[in-house]
Order: sequence, then C-alpha cells, then structure tokens
Amino acid sequence: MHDTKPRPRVLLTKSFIDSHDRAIETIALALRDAAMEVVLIDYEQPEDVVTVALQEDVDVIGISFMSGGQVETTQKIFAELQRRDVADLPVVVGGIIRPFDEPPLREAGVKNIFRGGAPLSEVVATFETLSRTYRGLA
Amino acid sequence: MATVISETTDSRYANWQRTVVARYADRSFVARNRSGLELQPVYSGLDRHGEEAEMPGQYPYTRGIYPIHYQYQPWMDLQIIGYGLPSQTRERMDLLLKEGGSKGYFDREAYNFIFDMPTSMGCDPDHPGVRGSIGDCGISVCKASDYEILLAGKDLAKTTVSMVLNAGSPAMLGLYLAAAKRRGFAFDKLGGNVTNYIWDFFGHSGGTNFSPRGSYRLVADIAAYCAEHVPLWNTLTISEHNICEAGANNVQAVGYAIAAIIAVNEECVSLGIEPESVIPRFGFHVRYGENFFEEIAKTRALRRVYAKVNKERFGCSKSSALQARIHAQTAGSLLTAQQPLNNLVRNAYGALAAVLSGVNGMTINAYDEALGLPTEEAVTLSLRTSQMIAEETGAVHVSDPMGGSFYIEELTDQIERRVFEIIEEIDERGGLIACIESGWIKQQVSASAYQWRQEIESGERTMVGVNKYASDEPTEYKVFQPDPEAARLAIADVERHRAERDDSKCKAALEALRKAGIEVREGRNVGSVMANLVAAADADATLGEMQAVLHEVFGRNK
Amino acid sequence: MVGAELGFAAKQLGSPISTLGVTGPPGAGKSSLINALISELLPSYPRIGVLMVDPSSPVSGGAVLGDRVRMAAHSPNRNVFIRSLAARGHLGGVTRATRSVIELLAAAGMDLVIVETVGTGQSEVEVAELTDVKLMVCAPGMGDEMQAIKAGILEVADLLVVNKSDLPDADRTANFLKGMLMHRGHQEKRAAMKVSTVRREGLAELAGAIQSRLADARDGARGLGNRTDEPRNRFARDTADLLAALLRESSDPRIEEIMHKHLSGEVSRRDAACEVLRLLARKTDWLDGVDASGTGLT
Repeated sequence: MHDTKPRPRVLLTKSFIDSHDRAIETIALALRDAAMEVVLIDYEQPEDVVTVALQEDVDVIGISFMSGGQVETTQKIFAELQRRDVADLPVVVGGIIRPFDEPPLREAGVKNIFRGGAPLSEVVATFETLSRTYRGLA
Repeated sequence: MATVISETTDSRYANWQRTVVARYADRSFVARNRSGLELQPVYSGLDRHGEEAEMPGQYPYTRGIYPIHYQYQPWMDLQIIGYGLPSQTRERMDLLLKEGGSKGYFDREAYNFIFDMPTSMGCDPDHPGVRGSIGDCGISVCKASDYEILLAGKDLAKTTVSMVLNAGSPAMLGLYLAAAKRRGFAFDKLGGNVTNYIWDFFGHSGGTNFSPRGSYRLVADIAAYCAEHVPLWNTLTISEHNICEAGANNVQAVGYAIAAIIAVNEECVSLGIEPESVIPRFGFHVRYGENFFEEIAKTRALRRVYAKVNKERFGCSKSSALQARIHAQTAGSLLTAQQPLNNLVRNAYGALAAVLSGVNGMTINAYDEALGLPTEEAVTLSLRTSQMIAEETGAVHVSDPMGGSFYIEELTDQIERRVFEIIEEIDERGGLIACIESGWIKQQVSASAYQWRQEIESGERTMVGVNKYASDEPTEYKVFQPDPEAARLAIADVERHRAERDDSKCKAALEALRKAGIEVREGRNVGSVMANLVAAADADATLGEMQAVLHEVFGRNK
Repeated sequence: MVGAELGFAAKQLGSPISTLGVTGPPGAGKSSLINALISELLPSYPRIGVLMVDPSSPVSGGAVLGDRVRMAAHSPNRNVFIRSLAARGHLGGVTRATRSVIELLAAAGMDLVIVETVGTGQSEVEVAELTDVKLMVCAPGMGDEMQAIKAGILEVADLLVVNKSDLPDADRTANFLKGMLMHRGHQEKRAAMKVSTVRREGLAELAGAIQSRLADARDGARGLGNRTDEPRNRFARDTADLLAALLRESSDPRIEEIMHKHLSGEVSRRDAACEVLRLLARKTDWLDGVDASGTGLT
C-alpha cells in the first residue's frame, strides 16, 4: 500500500487533570479510521496546545472539556493562535459544555460544539471539512 | 423464623440457620407481602446440579457476605456531594441531613465527598493550568484547615468520611488525619474510606498519576500504615465501575478488578506484609447500568472469584479477607443530555439491580448530571429513589432473591469462567503491572469502548432519546452554575496560608517525607510515607507541595 | 510543491547534524527514556529535535500518534522540536520522509535529532540506517519479546539499554543482552547499559556513552548514515521507487500491453521488465503528467 495524498492532521487534547479520556480516545479512533492522522496530548497551559499544533502542522484543533475552564481556556488558546499568526486555524470543542458556555465560545470563534451523543459520522465529517478548508482544498 | 435446627446437622442450610441464631439471636426475619403471604428471609433448595444450594454468608459468598442482609441492615445511601469551597459544601451537607440522608451504619453520619479535579489530582489551586476547574465538579481542598471547616462540629468518631480521589489520595488522607489530630480525635476511632484510585490505569489513566509500580508501592504503604494506626479506615477501593465507564464490558471490568487485587496482594507479599492484615480494608465500587440481569450475575461472580482468589492464591482464611464489600453506583455513562428525565428511570432500575445483588452501599447519580453539576432537586430525587426501593417494593425482605434462577445461576457461572480466563492471560503476560506498562490494558478497554460507540452509531445498540425515539425538544432544565468566585477565593486563601505558616518547619517536614519515600521505594519501613504525610500536613504543607515530593520519588505515568 | 522545494534547499545547505535512533518493544519505556535523555543532552546539544514514528492503520491509512504525551515537560522549551510521524504502511516512505525532515531540521540549525520507532521489524532497521548511533531499549523480564528480537536489530544497535533497572530482573536481562552481543562477535564498542528513569540512575552515563559515540560518528562521518555502501543502496532504492510510482500512474497503453503479456504467461517477468525499461529509454515525455508525490522523494 502506498501513500498518494496528504492526510488531514488533527490535534485532540484535554487538560492534564481531566481523568476521563474515553470520549477523546473514541473520537481519535474514529478519525483514524477515516484516514486522518491524530496527535493526542494533554495540555497543562493553553499555550502548549498552540505550540504542539504548530510543531505538528495540524489542520484542526479539537479540545475536550470535562471539569471546567471551557470558556477561559478556549479564549486563551484563541489569543495565542492570534499571537503566533495562525488565527484561522479552526478549533472545535466537545465534552461537558453547559448552555451558558455556548455564547462566549461561539464569540471566541469556535467552529463547532459537540456534546456527548453527537453521531461519530457528524464529528468525522466536520473534521474533514474543516481540514480541507484550512488547506485551501475545499 | 424456624427455631428448630434441621436434623442433618452438616447441611449448608443447617449451618446457615445456626449462624443466624448465633448472630441475630431471637430476632425474626419473616415478612409478609401485600397479599399476606409469608416470605422467608432466604430461599434455597437444590441447585442446578442437584446439590444443596450455597447459602448467603457461606464461602465462596456467591449469594452475599451476610447470612441475612437488608432485613437486618439496609444499604448505606451515599450521595456524592461536593462543590466550590469547603464552606459551600457544608451547606449542602446540612440540607441532606435534614432530608433524611447521610445515614451511615448504626446511627452514624456518612458523607461521600467528591473533590474538584485539581484536588483529586494533587494540585494546589494556584498550580498553573488548573484555574478553570477550581470548585467545579467537587470541593477545592489543599490544606488540613480546609477539612476543619468542612467537618466543623462533627463527631469524627461517629462520622464516616468517604473521599473520592485519584492521584491526590495519599496526601489528602494525610490532610484529613492531620485535621482529625488537631481536633483531638484518636485515629483508632476514625472510620471512612479513601478510594485511592492510584492503582487504576484504565478509567483514570487520562489524568496524571504516579508510575504504575510507584502506585502499587504507595497503596501498600497506606494499607500498612492504616492497619496499624487507623484500623477502621478503608484504604483502597477497586472501582469496577470506572473500568466499565472507561469502556470495558462487564467481564473485562470484573477481570481487571480482580487482577488489581492480585497485584496489590503480590506487592504486599513482596514487602513482607501479610495479606490478611490489609485485605479486610479493601472494597469494590461496582457499576449498575443497563444490563439488568448481567449486573446481578456479575456481582455474584465477583464475590465468588474474590473469595476463591484470596483463599487459594494467597492463603487467606479470615472471613473478612474473603468477603467482598461492595459500594454500588448507577452508571454515569448512561446519563443522557437528551430527554434527561429518562435518566430517573435508568437510575431506578440500576439501583434495583444493585439491591437485588446485595450491596453494602449505594450512590444513585442525579438525573441531570449530563448537563452539569446536580441541582438540589435532582439530589433529593436520587435519595427518594433509594427510599422507595427500600420501603415500598418489598425487595429488602429476601436476601439474594435471584438465587436459584436458572438464568442468573448460569450467567454467574459463565462470568466466573471468563474472568478466570482473563486472569490467566494477564498472568501469562507478566502480571497486571506489566500489562499496564505495555499499554495492553488500555488497548483492550479502548477497543471495547470504540466497539460500543460504533454499535450506537450503526443503531445496533439503542439509547432511547439519543439514537432512537429522539425528539426535538429543547433542553430547558436548570443547570447548576458553580460559583465563579470560588477560584479567586481558593487561590487567595492558599497564598495567605503559605504567608502565615512556619515555613522552616514545613520545609523540614517535606524533606523528611522525601527521605521516607526513598526508603519505602527501596522496600523498607513501609507505612512511613503515610506517617510523614500526616506530619507534613500538620506542619502546614499543602497538597501540591506534598504531591510534588511523592512524584519525585514514585514517578509519573506521563 | 513547497515541501519538496524546501527539502531540496535544506539539503543544499548540508549542515551537519547528529542523529540518534531509539527503538524497542512497546512497554520498554522508550518515550520516558527519551524525555529524560533530552534533559541530559541539552547542555551539549542546545537544540534538539525528536521524531516519533508510529504505525499507521493498515486498513484506513490513518494513525493515532500519542507518544509525545510523555514529553510534555519539554513542550514550553522553544529549543526542543517534537514531531509525530505516521509510518503510513510504506516502509520506504517513512525512511524518506524521516530523512527529509532531518535535513530540514539540520538546515534550521538543530544540533541533534532523536528518532523513535516501535517494534523490531524491517522498518526499524531502515530507519536505523539513517541514524549515527542506535539505541535499543527493553525492560527486564520481557521474556518472549527478547527471544524474538530480530537479528537485524542486534547487528545494528550500538547501545542496548535495559530500562527500569530498579526491577529485580534487570541484571539478568543486561547479562543476557551482553551474551547475545558477544555471541555475534561484536567489538566491545557495543555495550549493554542499565538505567532507571524513576530513580534517575544511569542517565548521565548513558548520555555520556551516546555523546562519545556521536562524536566518533561525526569524525568519520559525512552527515547521514555511516556505512560505505549505504549511499549507493539508498540511491538505487530511491530511484527504483520513483520508477515504480511512474509505472503505476502512467497511462501509456504500451506499458499496459507489456503488463498483460506477462500476466497471460506469454512473457516472463524479467523479460517484461526489460521491455518496459527499453520503452522508457526511448520516451522523452515519461515524466509528464505524473505526480510522484506519494513517494516522498524530494
């Protein structure tokens, strides 16, 4: 088998103190099965997310939240993306997102919010579309 | 209750009768149902092989660890509580008490505390990167004085304190014991439990932890210390529930749970600790979810395998080392954000399965937990669920009521067989720790989780309200909003604490902790890490400071 | 293609860079060891790159790349560049992509690149060919994995590292490895060493051993790889891969015809191949419209 096309590269991440990683692992496997390369890390500081996203040349960042920091962390990541000159790198979030989190998240620039129960096919399609758009292949 | 002992004196039934008379004296456990029919406390007869059936309270404890269970002592209802600052959680504790909850055994008060993620992982509130999680999903605690506020005025000799914690377990136990010491309570009267989920690399491997070997060493250290100084304290919870929640199926979860017990016992043996001296203080946390009959069968299989392993593999003979104590929890992963009221029903039948299995304690999740922290109303409804099962259904009148069912007995046997196969495979792969280190366990669990998700995706598996019978209704339920001020207050508080304490005393205690840790890592003076954690906590070291020392000595998983 | 041009430009600059390969079975603790070694090596190699190669799914071609989670401590350090690579199922592919990335890192001024791969298969031998010093890491009592260690890896490894030296089996494992080395008649330059990342023991010694071997390789080396017949082998492989890509993508009906003659049994494999080569020798436009980007050749 040989490689003939560039593959979408994605970063999936969650806080180092969040103990549940079942959701992020399931999404990682689904994206892998859709022929994407998925880098998985735990972040300590929001800035780490952007550093890794740049080192790994990803097309999309997906953040999974469980215990807090939904808005604050996301805002810090967007600020850092801006500072590192990659403001148009798409970001999606998922996990425990409360109703009052949504408006500030959308305002920060999040492209999609996934809650538990979102069909995998929808999640995969979203990542694929965002990746293609970011690479200018849409 | 027949007081005449059968003529065949060595029959299982006769032995059981004798035990009941000796243990409960003249008390009668006969009940009447709605139709006036007399119910026996236990039913028996011949089992499927034509032999006399095992009775409850008899090795290998398939039917339960007591000869008579709920008729004598109901399960302990432990609602999980905890959010924000200690003072805020204390308000909810007082509410629960008023509603009739928080009842422990024998007129004790009982609390099942959950802590926020930074605390649970051993981070102080001012640790970089944790600010957004302070007080969210649990209490923020980082010093002994926080426990003094949480439990102010309580008689700790009559209060069971259960603490759900991950990597922060050893240090947090140190903080609790230091607080108890300051309030003048003798350690040998303290009862409670720390889950000590540091052994767990399936459900909780998502967070930071010690190295696998370091974790098991620390488990042994806490067990040894408490066996000597805090003999009523339960030092380890093996959470089959969390293994399931990570994605394992029931057979895998029970298998890995037993493998963890084996690993802990082997660690103790290698350190010269007699397993029987520590095993009686271990317990299980088991998930009760959607597979109604399987949940009951797996509980019975777990009890049976536990007894056999401890007896045959580790030579235990004390009944307290052979009897698995179980705390039940309804399945968290089933709580849907869609049509949340459905979750009330899911919790009800999960709780019923637990009762029919014969468990010691129960935590019924709040139905709105998928939306955020539970509201007061939801917490009360969980309590009512338990009260209804206990006082309306009559399920408590017969112990192991499913015993003798062809289905349940066959399923129990099958699960037992498959669990032993898993244990054998783990043995062949070099033991559980080697399986954790090589990533094999994680792989098995992830594959199972993924398969489940694919079944949901394809519709092969139904989740009502999610992939079938869904509706477009907007979710208009009240969602609990944690106090945004909690983070600011917690950080200010720990800074003040550090400024006000005797810093040199604290540093000396942390250095002593480090030295003790190195000794224990080499296999000497096991129990001295816990002793030094108490001393350091009493010298005003914070959770994060003690945790940093422990990580330095016992490593990190990542 | 921007990537190819950059890669070529980087090669032109030809800066020297030291390369260290790390391989071994899963569970040996390679990533934790690399994490610890970075700290030990930074004083001598101020800018370090780490390439971690993970297998791709043979079914979908995608990959989950999770190794770098163990190097989170170095994330904020701007002098450490960590990159995850998917093997993409094509062994030649990972070697060439890795080579190109190393050349780019060299052009960017990195002093050392560490390449980590898992397992004991053929691809690891190929990746080892492009590193100056090779480490093979295992943990005590790996039993069957040890027996299955392919001869190729042992021939190629400079340093055999027994990780988790705090475990009781560590000495026995180290001796077993030393025995295997002597059995194959290696000079004593190849050594077996013990380390423990938890106890932070043996790390400084290992770093020292790595550094002295890297210095030796540098003195005798011309950059990547250090075997005399290696450049020609590589060139032959690279050219063959390009040819293969061209044949797969070509729409020339004459090539199709030759292939069918072979498949029907009319012409032997060797004769068919010779016929294709003769055909291509006559063509001048055979590169037109063909996109060999999949080969990773720059």
